[in-house]
Amino acid sequence: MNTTTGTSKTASAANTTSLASSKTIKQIGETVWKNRTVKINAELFTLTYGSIVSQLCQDYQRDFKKVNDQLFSMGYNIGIRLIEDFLARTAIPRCDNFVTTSEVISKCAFKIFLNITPHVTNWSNTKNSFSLIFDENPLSDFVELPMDASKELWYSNILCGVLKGALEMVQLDCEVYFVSDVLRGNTQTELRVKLNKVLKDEMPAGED
Amino acid sequence: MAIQSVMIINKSGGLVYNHNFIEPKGTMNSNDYLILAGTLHSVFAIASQLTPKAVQISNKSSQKTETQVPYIPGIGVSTENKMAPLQLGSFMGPDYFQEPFTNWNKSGLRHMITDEFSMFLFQSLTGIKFVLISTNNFRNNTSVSIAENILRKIYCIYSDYVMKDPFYSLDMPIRSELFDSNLKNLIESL
Amino acid sequence: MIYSLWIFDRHCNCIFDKEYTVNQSTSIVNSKEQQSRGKLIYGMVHSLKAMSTKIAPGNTLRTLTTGKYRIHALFTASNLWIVIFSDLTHHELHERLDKIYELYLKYVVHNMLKPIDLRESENAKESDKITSPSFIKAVDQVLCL
Repeated sequence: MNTTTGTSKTASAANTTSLASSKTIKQIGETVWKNRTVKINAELFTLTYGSIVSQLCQDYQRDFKKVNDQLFSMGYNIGIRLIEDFLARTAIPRCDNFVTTSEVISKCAFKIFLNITPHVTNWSNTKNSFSLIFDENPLSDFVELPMDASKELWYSNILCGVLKGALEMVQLDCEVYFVSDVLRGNTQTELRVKLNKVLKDEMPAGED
Repeated sequence: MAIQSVMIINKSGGLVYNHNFIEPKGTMNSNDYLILAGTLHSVFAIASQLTPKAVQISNKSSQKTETQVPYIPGIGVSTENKMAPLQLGSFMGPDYFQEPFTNWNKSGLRHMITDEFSMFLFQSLTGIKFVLISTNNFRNNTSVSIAENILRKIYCIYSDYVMKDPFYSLDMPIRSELFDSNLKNLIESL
Repeated sequence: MIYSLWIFDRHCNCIFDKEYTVNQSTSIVNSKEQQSRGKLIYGMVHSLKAMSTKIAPGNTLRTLTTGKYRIHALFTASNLWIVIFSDLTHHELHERLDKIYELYLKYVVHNMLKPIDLRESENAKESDKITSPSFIKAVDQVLCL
């Protein structure tokens, strides 16, 4: 799988006042992916991430719980910064409800940064938690977990940290964790996002 | 548009960045700037509290159209040379963005116009505020849109050169030469 | 549409406030609930005015805009402030501010029977506010053009 850098100047999608249609969110994601982001070789990305995980496993002497936590905190640090990049690029207005948030995450954010579109499913009754099902995961291409790791290690745990950090910076306190992973032998890769609460105190003034 | 200075205020109201492109007429030492940042931060919040009741009751849908900021091409990037698009940090293409966008700031303070200068405030969803002081004081909507476009571009530069610097701690003063030089390029090319 | 008019004297008291609603007959003058609001407005305008003087000395603040409304202000040399809240369609209201100042001179200052320029230590009672009906009527006429 190879990605290329391109510089086309196709007309950009108009940003409507309210983020009502998921089609608009999808359009924004695709436009920004196609025209506005510099891309690198996917193999290099996979290898870099793989070397991070394997080095962590070595450093923590195969204590996979610690590796998971470290990946999560690395992801958290990335997420709190990545959100500004996302907002500067897309200028998406604040989501009215958690359903819109899930769409923005899956159709726009993942598309822009990883060029994948995970599906949103498994909504809870109170509509405050959902699952993201990944059909493809560029972090874990060509990866096979060893026997001891496949019981405890969540290979792509950095994604959980990224999501948690990014959502926290927009005043959504969420819990993000993996439920299943094809690398572990499960049928699909599923990530669960649960909204604990909206941090109203930290919301910047001047919003409705 | 002559830009006098750019300030960045973090979400707790502390001054994170301040740069004067034109020497201000008054003498302000660094303490004054910190006080200025804190004042702006709190005034921003108070302004949203002072929204007249009549506005709160009135039809909300008519308000939404006023928060759209049109995209104004050619600010800070040259429109002449279309063959070689600039490399704007991690943003590709002829410009940082090319669509109109909604202003996140719905009821907080947006601009202040005085006889000698105009001040524009831009707040992102994460609470970080960008302040632009310009020595013009045109009051029409176009100059306001130009200022908002400039502020969003500064936000793009910020998200690139400040956020992606692994040695920068969040909410701390910005000491990045890359950010300074890119900002300078943007402002000087206006 | 004009939302409200506020007049502050040089002792930081709000001596007049009038809120306009869509239906003119129900506009409220000098109500008690507005006192805390008046103080907030005074504080905010004062800080921004001080700030703008610091940045450029000899400067006067003109308008403040938020996403929903605009504030227009007139500061006289005697430190009397006239503040109007309007919607975003009004970009400039300085002629009206000037006219209101003239009306203030005519109906309030030149009226020897009403107290003026009260000291800060006294309690701000209702009677210390401008209640002259001719002033209110004239102001209505200026603002509801």
